[in-house]
Amino acid sequence: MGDYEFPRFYSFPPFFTLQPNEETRANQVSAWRNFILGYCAAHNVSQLEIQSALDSPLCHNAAIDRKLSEDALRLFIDDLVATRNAEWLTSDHTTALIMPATPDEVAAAIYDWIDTTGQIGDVLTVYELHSGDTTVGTSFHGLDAVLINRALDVLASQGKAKVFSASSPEDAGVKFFPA
Amino acid sequence: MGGVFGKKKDGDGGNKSNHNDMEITAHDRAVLDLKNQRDKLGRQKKKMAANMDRLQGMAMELVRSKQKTKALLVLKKKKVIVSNMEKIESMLDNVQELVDSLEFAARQAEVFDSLRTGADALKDINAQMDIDEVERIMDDTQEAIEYQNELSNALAGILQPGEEEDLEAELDALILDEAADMPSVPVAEPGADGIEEYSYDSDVGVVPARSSAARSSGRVAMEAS
Repeated sequence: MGDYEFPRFYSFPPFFTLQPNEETRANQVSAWRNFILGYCAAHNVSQLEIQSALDSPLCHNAAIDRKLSEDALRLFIDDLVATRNAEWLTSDHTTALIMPATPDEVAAAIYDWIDTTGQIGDVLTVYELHSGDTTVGTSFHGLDAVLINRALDVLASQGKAKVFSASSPEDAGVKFFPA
Repeated sequence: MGGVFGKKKDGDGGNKSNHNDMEITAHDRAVLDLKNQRDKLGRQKKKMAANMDRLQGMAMELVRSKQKTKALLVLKKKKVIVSNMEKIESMLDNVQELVDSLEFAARQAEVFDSLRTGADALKDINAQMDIDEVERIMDDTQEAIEYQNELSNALAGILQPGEEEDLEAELDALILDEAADMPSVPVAEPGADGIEEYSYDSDVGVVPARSSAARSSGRVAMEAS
Protein backbone atom coordinates (compact mmCIF):
# COMPACT_ATOMS: atom_id res chain seq x y z
CA MET A 1 0.00 0.00 0.00
CA GLY A 2 2.85 2.32 0.83
CA ASP A 3 4.34 2.20 -2.62
CA TYR A 4 1.46 4.04 -4.27
CA GLU A 5 2.67 7.27 -5.77
CA PHE A 6 0.13 10.06 -5.90
CA PRO A 7 -0.06 11.91 -9.18
CA ARG A 8 1.61 15.30 -9.26
CA PHE A 9 -1.67 17.20 -9.47
CA TYR A 10 -2.63 15.67 -6.11
CA SER A 11 -0.52 18.40 -4.53
CA PHE A 12 -2.12 21.06 -6.70
CA PRO A 13 -4.79 22.85 -4.61
CA PRO A 14 -7.23 23.68 -7.47
CA PHE A 15 -7.45 19.96 -8.17
CA PHE A 16 -9.73 19.67 -5.15
CA THR A 17 -12.12 22.42 -6.19
CA LEU A 18 -14.62 21.97 -8.98
CA GLN A 19 -13.52 24.16 -11.86
CA PRO A 20 -16.11 26.55 -13.30
CA ASN A 21 -14.53 26.78 -16.75
CA GLU A 22 -16.00 24.05 -18.93
CA GLU A 23 -12.76 23.02 -20.59
CA THR A 24 -10.78 23.03 -17.37
CA ARG A 25 -13.57 21.07 -15.71
CA ALA A 26 -13.39 18.41 -18.40
CA ASN A 27 -9.64 18.05 -17.84
CA GLN A 28 -10.20 17.89 -14.10
CA VAL A 29 -12.87 15.20 -14.43
CA SER A 30 -10.67 13.05 -16.63
CA ALA A 31 -7.73 13.51 -14.24
CA TRP A 32 -9.89 12.42 -11.32
CA ARG A 33 -11.24 9.48 -13.32
CA ASN A 34 -7.75 8.04 -13.75
CA PHE A 35 -6.75 9.00 -10.21
CA ILE A 36 -9.71 7.25 -8.57
CA LEU A 37 -9.25 4.12 -10.68
CA GLY A 38 -5.50 4.02 -10.04
CA TYR A 39 -5.89 4.71 -6.35
CA CYS A 40 -8.56 2.05 -5.88
CA ALA A 41 -6.59 -0.51 -7.88
CA ALA A 42 -3.43 0.17 -5.85
CA HIS A 43 -5.24 0.10 -2.52
CA ASN A 44 -7.44 -2.85 -3.36
CA VAL A 45 -10.54 -0.76 -2.89
CA SER A 46 -13.50 -1.99 -4.86
CA GLN A 47 -16.43 -0.62 -2.92
CA LEU A 48 -16.14 3.05 -2.23
CA GLU A 49 -18.28 4.47 0.50
CA ILE A 50 -18.75 8.19 -0.07
CA GLN A 51 -18.43 9.44 3.49
CA SER A 52 -15.38 7.41 4.40
CA ALA A 53 -13.81 8.16 1.03
CA LEU A 54 -14.09 11.88 1.71
CA ASP A 55 -11.95 11.44 4.82
CA SER A 56 -9.47 9.08 3.18
CA PRO A 57 -6.28 10.27 1.47
CA LEU A 58 -8.16 9.86 -1.81
CA CYS A 59 -10.16 13.03 -1.21
CA HIS A 60 -8.21 14.61 1.56
CA ASN A 61 -4.69 15.86 1.06
CA ALA A 62 -3.61 16.84 4.56
CA ALA A 63 -0.25 18.12 3.33
CA ILE A 64 -1.83 21.00 1.43
CA ASP A 65 -4.95 21.05 3.61
CA ARG A 66 -7.36 20.49 0.76
CA LYS A 67 -10.44 18.32 0.79
CA LEU A 68 -12.80 17.36 -1.99
CA SER A 69 -16.45 18.27 -1.51
CA GLU A 70 -19.07 15.56 -1.51
CA ASP A 71 -20.75 17.04 -4.58
CA ALA A 72 -17.50 16.97 -6.49
CA LEU A 73 -16.80 13.35 -5.55
CA ARG A 74 -20.31 12.37 -6.63
CA LEU A 75 -19.77 14.14 -9.93
CA PHE A 76 -16.53 12.25 -10.52
CA ILE A 77 -18.12 8.94 -9.62
CA ASP A 78 -21.05 9.67 -11.92
CA ASP A 79 -18.48 10.21 -14.63
CA LEU A 80 -16.99 6.77 -13.82
CA VAL A 81 -20.46 5.28 -13.98
CA ALA A 82 -20.80 6.79 -17.44
CA THR A 83 -17.58 5.10 -18.59
CA ARG A 84 -18.75 1.77 -17.07
CA ASN A 85 -15.91 1.94 -14.55
CA ALA A 86 -18.23 2.38 -11.59
CA GLU A 87 -21.67 1.44 -10.46
CA TRP A 88 -23.80 2.74 -7.60
CA LEU A 89 -24.48 -0.21 -5.34
CA THR A 90 -27.11 1.47 -3.20
CA SER A 91 -30.17 3.29 -4.36
CA ASP A 92 -29.29 6.34 -2.22
CA HIS A 93 -25.87 6.53 -3.91
CA THR A 94 -23.76 6.14 -0.79
CA THR A 95 -21.56 3.30 -2.00
CA ALA A 96 -20.11 2.78 -5.43
CA LEU A 97 -18.41 -0.19 -6.97
CA ILE A 98 -15.19 0.97 -8.58
CA MET A 99 -14.08 -1.10 -11.53
CA PRO A 100 -10.64 -0.29 -12.94
CA ALA A 101 -11.42 -3.00 -15.48
CA THR A 102 -14.92 -2.70 -16.93
CA PRO A 103 -17.24 -5.72 -16.73
CA ASP A 104 -16.70 -6.24 -20.45
CA GLU A 105 -12.94 -6.46 -19.98
CA VAL A 106 -13.26 -8.77 -16.99
CA ALA A 107 -15.73 -10.92 -18.91
CA ALA A 108 -13.29 -11.25 -21.80
CA ALA A 109 -10.46 -12.14 -19.40
CA ILE A 110 -12.55 -14.78 -17.62
CA TYR A 111 -13.77 -16.39 -20.81
CA ASP A 112 -10.29 -16.37 -22.28
CA TRP A 113 -8.96 -18.12 -19.17
CA ILE A 114 -11.79 -20.67 -19.23
CA ASP A 115 -11.12 -21.33 -22.89
CA THR A 116 -7.34 -21.71 -22.64
CA THR A 117 -7.60 -23.94 -19.58
CA GLY A 118 -10.15 -26.21 -21.28
CA GLN A 119 -12.96 -25.57 -18.84
CA ILE A 120 -15.71 -24.84 -21.34
CA GLY A 121 -18.70 -26.95 -20.39
CA ASP A 122 -17.56 -27.09 -16.78
CA VAL A 123 -19.27 -25.73 -13.72
CA LEU A 124 -17.32 -23.33 -11.52
CA THR A 125 -18.26 -21.51 -8.37
CA VAL A 126 -18.24 -17.73 -8.48
CA TYR A 127 -16.04 -17.88 -5.41
CA GLU A 128 -13.34 -19.87 -7.11
CA LEU A 129 -13.21 -17.34 -9.95
CA HIS A 130 -12.16 -14.49 -7.66
CA SER A 131 -10.60 -16.37 -4.74
CA GLY A 132 -9.81 -19.86 -5.95
CA ASP A 133 -6.33 -21.35 -6.01
CA THR A 134 -6.57 -21.97 -9.74
CA THR A 135 -7.17 -18.34 -10.69
CA VAL A 136 -4.12 -16.97 -8.86
CA GLY A 137 -2.19 -14.87 -11.33
CA THR A 138 -5.16 -14.04 -13.55
CA SER A 139 -6.30 -10.46 -13.92
CA PHE A 140 -9.64 -11.19 -12.28
CA HIS A 141 -8.29 -12.96 -9.21
CA GLY A 142 -9.10 -10.93 -6.12
CA LEU A 143 -11.69 -8.77 -7.84
CA ASP A 144 -14.88 -7.88 -6.02
CA ALA A 145 -17.54 -10.58 -6.24
CA VAL A 146 -20.03 -7.98 -7.48
CA LEU A 147 -17.76 -7.11 -10.38
CA ILE A 148 -17.28 -10.80 -11.18
CA ASN A 149 -21.04 -11.17 -11.25
CA ARG A 150 -21.35 -8.20 -13.59
CA ALA A 151 -18.79 -9.80 -15.90
CA LEU A 152 -20.71 -13.08 -15.78
CA ASP A 153 -23.87 -11.16 -16.69
CA VAL A 154 -22.03 -9.89 -19.75
CA LEU A 155 -21.02 -13.44 -20.68
CA ALA A 156 -24.58 -14.64 -20.07
CA SER A 157 -25.92 -12.00 -22.45
CA GLN A 158 -23.45 -13.27 -25.04
CA GLY A 159 -24.63 -16.84 -24.49
CA LYS A 160 -21.24 -17.90 -23.21
CA ALA A 161 -22.17 -18.60 -19.60
CA LYS A 162 -25.08 -19.19 -17.33
CA VAL A 163 -25.19 -18.34 -13.65
CA PHE A 164 -27.23 -20.63 -11.45
CA SER A 165 -27.40 -21.82 -7.90
CA ALA A 166 -27.85 -25.25 -6.45
CA SER A 167 -28.99 -25.85 -2.89
CA SER A 168 -28.34 -22.42 -1.45
CA PRO A 169 -28.90 -19.29 -3.51
CA GLU A 170 -25.88 -17.46 -2.09
CA ASP A 171 -23.51 -20.09 -3.42
CA ALA A 172 -23.88 -19.25 -7.05
CA GLY A 173 -22.11 -21.15 -9.74
CA VAL A 174 -21.55 -20.62 -13.40
CA LYS A 175 -21.42 -22.94 -16.35
CA PHE A 176 -19.49 -21.97 -19.44
CA PHE A 177 -20.60 -22.68 -22.99
CA PRO A 178 -18.72 -22.72 -26.26
CA ALA A 179 -18.77 -19.39 -28.05
CA MET B 1 -28.05 -39.00 -46.81
CA GLY B 2 -26.96 -35.44 -46.21
CA GLY B 3 -29.94 -34.97 -43.94
CA VAL B 4 -28.59 -37.50 -41.49
CA PHE B 5 -25.54 -35.39 -40.83
CA GLY B 6 -27.15 -32.03 -41.38
CA LYS B 7 -29.72 -32.63 -38.69
CA LYS B 8 -27.13 -33.21 -35.99
CA LYS B 9 -25.25 -30.11 -36.99
CA ASP B 10 -28.34 -27.93 -36.68
CA GLY B 11 -28.87 -28.99 -33.12
CA ASP B 12 -25.22 -28.61 -32.21
CA GLY B 13 -23.92 -25.44 -33.78
CA GLY B 14 -25.15 -21.92 -33.38
CA ASN B 15 -28.24 -20.97 -31.39
CA LYS B 16 -26.15 -19.73 -28.48
CA SER B 17 -29.10 -17.97 -27.01
CA ASN B 18 -31.17 -21.11 -27.29
CA HIS B 19 -32.22 -22.20 -23.85
CA ASN B 20 -31.96 -25.85 -24.70
CA ASP B 21 -28.28 -25.37 -25.40
CA MET B 22 -27.65 -23.51 -22.17
CA GLU B 23 -29.37 -25.98 -19.98
CA ILE B 24 -28.27 -26.51 -16.42
CA THR B 25 -28.61 -30.20 -15.68
CA ALA B 26 -28.93 -32.02 -12.39
CA HIS B 27 -25.36 -33.06 -12.94
CA ASP B 28 -24.29 -29.41 -13.09
CA ARG B 29 -26.05 -28.71 -9.83
CA ALA B 30 -24.39 -31.69 -8.20
CA VAL B 31 -20.99 -30.46 -9.35
CA LEU B 32 -21.77 -26.98 -8.10
CA ASP B 33 -22.81 -28.32 -4.70
CA LEU B 34 -19.59 -30.24 -4.41
CA LYS B 35 -17.50 -27.31 -5.54
CA ASN B 36 -19.25 -25.07 -3.05
CA GLN B 37 -18.38 -27.55 -0.34
CA ARG B 38 -14.82 -27.55 -1.58
CA ASP B 39 -14.72 -23.74 -1.43
CA LYS B 40 -16.12 -23.76 2.08
CA LEU B 41 -13.59 -26.33 3.23
CA GLY B 42 -10.88 -24.27 1.58
CA ARG B 43 -12.02 -21.17 3.43
CA GLN B 44 -12.17 -23.09 6.69
CA LYS B 45 -8.67 -24.35 6.08
CA LYS B 46 -7.44 -20.80 5.55
CA LYS B 47 -9.15 -19.71 8.74
CA MET B 48 -7.58 -22.56 10.68
CA ALA B 49 -4.17 -21.82 9.26
CA ALA B 50 -4.50 -18.22 10.43
CA ASN B 51 -5.67 -19.42 13.84
CA MET B 52 -2.73 -21.77 14.04
CA ASP B 53 -0.30 -18.99 13.27
CA ARG B 54 -1.93 -16.84 15.91
CA LEU B 55 -1.67 -19.59 18.55
CA GLN B 56 1.90 -20.29 17.57
CA GLY B 57 2.76 -16.64 18.09
CA MET B 58 0.88 -16.62 21.37
CA ALA B 59 2.75 -19.68 22.62
CA MET B 60 6.06 -18.12 21.73
CA GLU B 61 5.06 -14.97 23.51
CA LEU B 62 4.08 -16.94 26.65
CA VAL B 63 7.32 -18.91 26.59
CA ARG B 64 9.21 -15.66 26.42
CA SER B 65 7.32 -14.31 29.44
CA LYS B 66 7.95 -17.64 31.24
CA GLN B 67 4.28 -18.62 31.47
CA LYS B 68 4.92 -22.25 30.75
CA THR B 69 1.54 -23.72 31.75
CA LYS B 70 -0.36 -21.20 29.67
CA ALA B 71 1.95 -21.83 26.76
CA LEU B 72 1.27 -25.56 27.06
CA LEU B 73 -2.47 -24.89 27.01
CA VAL B 74 -2.11 -22.83 23.88
CA LEU B 75 -0.02 -25.53 22.24
CA LYS B 76 -2.72 -28.05 23.12
CA LYS B 77 -5.30 -25.88 21.38
CA LYS B 78 -3.01 -25.66 18.41
CA LYS B 79 -2.70 -29.41 18.29
CA VAL B 80 -6.48 -29.80 18.13
CA ILE B 81 -6.57 -27.37 15.24
CA VAL B 82 -3.78 -29.22 13.44
CA SER B 83 -5.65 -32.52 13.70
CA ASN B 84 -8.86 -30.86 12.52
CA MET B 85 -7.00 -29.36 9.64
CA GLU B 86 -5.75 -32.75 8.62
CA LYS B 87 -9.31 -34.01 8.62
CA ILE B 88 -10.42 -31.09 6.52
CA GLU B 89 -7.60 -31.70 4.13
CA SER B 90 -8.64 -35.31 3.59
CA MET B 91 -12.25 -34.23 3.15
CA LEU B 92 -11.08 -31.68 0.62
CA ASP B 93 -9.23 -34.40 -1.24
CA ASN B 94 -12.34 -36.57 -1.25
CA VAL B 95 -14.54 -33.78 -2.52
CA GLN B 96 -12.06 -32.85 -5.22
CA GLU B 97 -11.78 -36.48 -6.26
CA LEU B 98 -15.54 -36.79 -6.51
CA VAL B 99 -15.74 -33.57 -8.54
CA ASP B 100 -13.10 -34.88 -10.90
CA SER B 101 -14.78 -38.24 -11.36
CA LEU B 102 -18.17 -36.57 -11.84
CA GLU B 103 -16.77 -34.37 -14.57
CA PHE B 104 -15.03 -37.32 -16.13
CA ALA B 105 -18.19 -39.42 -16.03
CA ALA B 106 -20.09 -36.60 -17.72
CA ARG B 107 -17.49 -36.49 -20.46
CA GLN B 108 -17.77 -40.25 -20.86
CA ALA B 109 -21.53 -40.02 -21.11
CA GLU B 110 -21.11 -37.38 -23.82
CA VAL B 111 -18.75 -39.59 -25.77
CA PHE B 112 -21.13 -42.51 -25.40
CA ASP B 113 -23.95 -40.34 -26.64
CA SER B 114 -21.99 -39.24 -29.70
CA LEU B 115 -21.01 -42.82 -30.43
CA ARG B 116 -24.63 -43.87 -30.28
CA THR B 117 -25.69 -41.04 -32.56
CA GLY B 118 -22.94 -41.99 -34.97
CA ALA B 119 -23.91 -45.65 -34.91
CA ASP B 120 -27.55 -44.75 -35.52
CA ALA B 121 -26.58 -42.55 -38.42
CA LEU B 122 -24.51 -45.37 -39.87
CA LYS B 123 -27.40 -47.78 -39.47
CA ASP B 124 -29.72 -45.31 -41.21
CA ILE B 125 -27.38 -45.02 -44.12
CA ASN B 126 -26.91 -48.77 -44.35
CA ALA B 127 -30.65 -49.30 -44.21
CA GLN B 128 -30.96 -47.22 -47.36
CA MET B 129 -28.65 -49.65 -49.14
CA ASP B 130 -30.36 -53.07 -49.43
CA ILE B 131 -27.79 -55.75 -50.22
CA ASP B 132 -29.87 -57.30 -53.06
CA GLU B 133 -30.35 -53.86 -54.48
CA VAL B 134 -26.62 -53.23 -54.28
CA GLU B 135 -25.92 -56.55 -56.06
CA ARG B 136 -28.41 -55.71 -58.75
CA ILE B 137 -26.86 -52.30 -59.21
CA MET B 138 -23.40 -53.83 -59.32
CA ASP B 139 -24.55 -56.34 -61.95
CA ASP B 140 -26.13 -53.59 -63.97
CA THR B 141 -22.98 -51.61 -63.67
CA GLN B 142 -20.88 -54.58 -64.80
CA GLU B 143 -23.12 -55.09 -67.80
CA ALA B 144 -22.95 -51.45 -68.65
CA ILE B 145 -19.18 -51.53 -68.37
CA GLU B 146 -18.97 -54.53 -70.68
CA TYR B 147 -21.25 -52.92 -73.20
CA GLN B 148 -19.17 -49.79 -73.01
CA ASN B 149 -16.01 -51.79 -73.64
CA GLU B 150 -17.58 -53.47 -76.64
CA LEU B 151 -18.65 -50.12 -77.96
CA SER B 152 -15.28 -48.55 -77.61
CA ASN B 153 -13.56 -51.59 -79.10
CA ALA B 154 -15.83 -51.45 -82.07
CA LEU B 155 -15.14 -47.77 -82.47
CA ALA B 156 -11.41 -48.29 -82.17
CA GLY B 157 -11.51 -51.27 -84.58
CA ILE B 158 -10.09 -53.73 -82.14
CA LEU B 159 -11.48 -57.23 -82.47
CA GLN B 160 -12.33 -59.67 -79.81
CA PRO B 161 -9.86 -62.56 -79.51
CA GLY B 162 -12.44 -65.12 -80.59
CA GLU B 163 -13.55 -63.01 -83.46
CA GLU B 164 -10.00 -62.68 -84.68
CA GLU B 165 -9.60 -66.47 -84.80
CA ASP B 166 -12.82 -66.76 -86.73
CA LEU B 167 -11.61 -64.26 -89.23
CA GLU B 168 -8.28 -65.99 -89.61
CA ALA B 169 -9.98 -69.30 -90.27
CA GLU B 170 -12.16 -67.64 -92.88
CA LEU B 171 -9.08 -66.19 -94.53
CA ASP B 172 -7.39 -69.64 -94.65
CA ALA B 173 -10.48 -71.15 -96.26
CA LEU B 174 -10.51 -68.45 -98.91
CA ILE B 175 -6.86 -69.07 -99.71
CA LEU B 176 -7.51 -72.82 -100.13
CA ASP B 177 -10.43 -72.21 -102.48
CA GLU B 178 -8.35 -69.94 -104.63
CA ALA B 179 -5.55 -72.50 -104.87
CA ALA B 180 -7.94 -75.22 -106.13
CA ASP B 181 -9.10 -73.11 -109.10
CA MET B 182 -5.65 -72.28 -110.39
CA PRO B 183 -3.07 -74.39 -112.38
CA SER B 184 -0.24 -75.67 -110.47
CA VAL B 185 2.51 -73.25 -110.15
CA PRO B 186 5.64 -74.15 -112.14
CA VAL B 187 8.33 -75.18 -109.92
CA ALA B 188 11.42 -74.58 -112.06
CA GLU B 189 12.66 -71.51 -113.79
CA PRO B 190 12.07 -71.21 -117.49
CA GLY B 191 15.11 -72.04 -119.70
CA ALA B 192 16.96 -73.94 -117.11
CA ASP B 193 18.43 -77.34 -117.73
CA GLY B 194 15.98 -80.21 -118.46
CA ILE B 195 13.16 -77.85 -119.03
CA GLU B 196 11.25 -77.84 -122.22
CA GLU B 197 10.73 -74.74 -124.14
CA TYR B 198 7.80 -74.75 -126.41
CA SER B 199 7.64 -73.28 -129.88
CA TYR B 200 4.90 -73.35 -132.37
CA ASP B 201 5.07 -74.95 -135.81
CA SER B 202 2.08 -74.99 -138.12
CA ASP B 203 2.60 -78.56 -139.32
CA VAL B 204 3.79 -80.26 -136.33
CA GLY B 205 2.02 -78.20 -133.72
CA VAL B 206 3.66 -77.48 -130.64
CA VAL B 207 7.05 -78.96 -130.54
CA PRO B 208 9.52 -78.88 -127.88
CA ALA B 209 12.45 -76.81 -128.94
CA ARG B 210 15.35 -79.03 -128.01
CA SER B 211 18.11 -76.73 -129.01
CA SER B 212 18.77 -74.04 -131.52
CA ALA B 213 20.84 -76.48 -133.62
CA ALA B 214 18.12 -79.10 -133.78
CA ARG B 215 15.62 -76.53 -134.68
CA SER B 216 17.61 -75.26 -137.65
CA SER B 217 18.37 -78.81 -138.91
CA GLY B 218 14.70 -79.64 -138.73
CA ARG B 219 13.83 -76.66 -140.75
CA VAL B 220 16.41 -77.66 -143.33
CA ALA B 221 14.91 -81.12 -143.55
CA MET B 222 11.49 -79.79 -144.13
CA GLU B 223 12.66 -77.53 -146.85
CA ALA B 224 14.31 -80.48 -148.57
CA SER B 225 11.26 -82.65 -148.66
